[in-house]
Amino acid sequence: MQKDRKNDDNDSSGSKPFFRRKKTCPFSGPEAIVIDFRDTRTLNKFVSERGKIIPARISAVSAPKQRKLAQAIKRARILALMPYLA
Amino acid sequence: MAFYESIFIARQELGEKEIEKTIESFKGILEKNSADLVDTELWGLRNLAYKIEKNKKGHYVVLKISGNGEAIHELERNMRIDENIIRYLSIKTDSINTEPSILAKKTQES
Repeated sequence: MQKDRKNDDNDSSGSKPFFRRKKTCPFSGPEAIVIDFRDTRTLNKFVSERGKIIPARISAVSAPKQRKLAQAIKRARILALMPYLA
Repeated sequence: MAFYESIFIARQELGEKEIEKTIESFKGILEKNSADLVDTELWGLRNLAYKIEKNKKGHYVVLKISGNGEAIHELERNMRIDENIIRYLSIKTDSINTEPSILAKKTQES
């Protein structure tokens, strides 16, 4: 997804200033994904290997969407669709 | 009136008939409390992400309800009494979507 793109630009030359493509919120904009607690495949992209919720400053999810996302992950955990700890 | 989605997990030992029976009994409870069971959705037997009361699997059932909060409260009270129900979650929704969700589709394919 968007996350992988940042590596494409900065490997070419060491002398160039380090360039990092700005990531955008995957839940905003025209191609936004709908946040749904049933959709564990999407939600799994926003938790660490241990099952912790990834902070918005790393995943670049906007603040309102991060709140919705956290709620969805917690609901999925209650219904044993996702683990509390792995 | 508001819309709710009530999801519960039944113990894996239950057969389809027993699940139908529990859905019917919940429907009766809802109707007594002037709420409507608009739609049900079965997700089938799924693996649980973690053990709940020593169960590794469970039958997932979604009840889509149109009614007021008191009916949901009464429904949840009965879910707590029923020992075959190991987990439940009720969520208020803006509207009722009768199309099957991602999880329901998955079980139909397999």
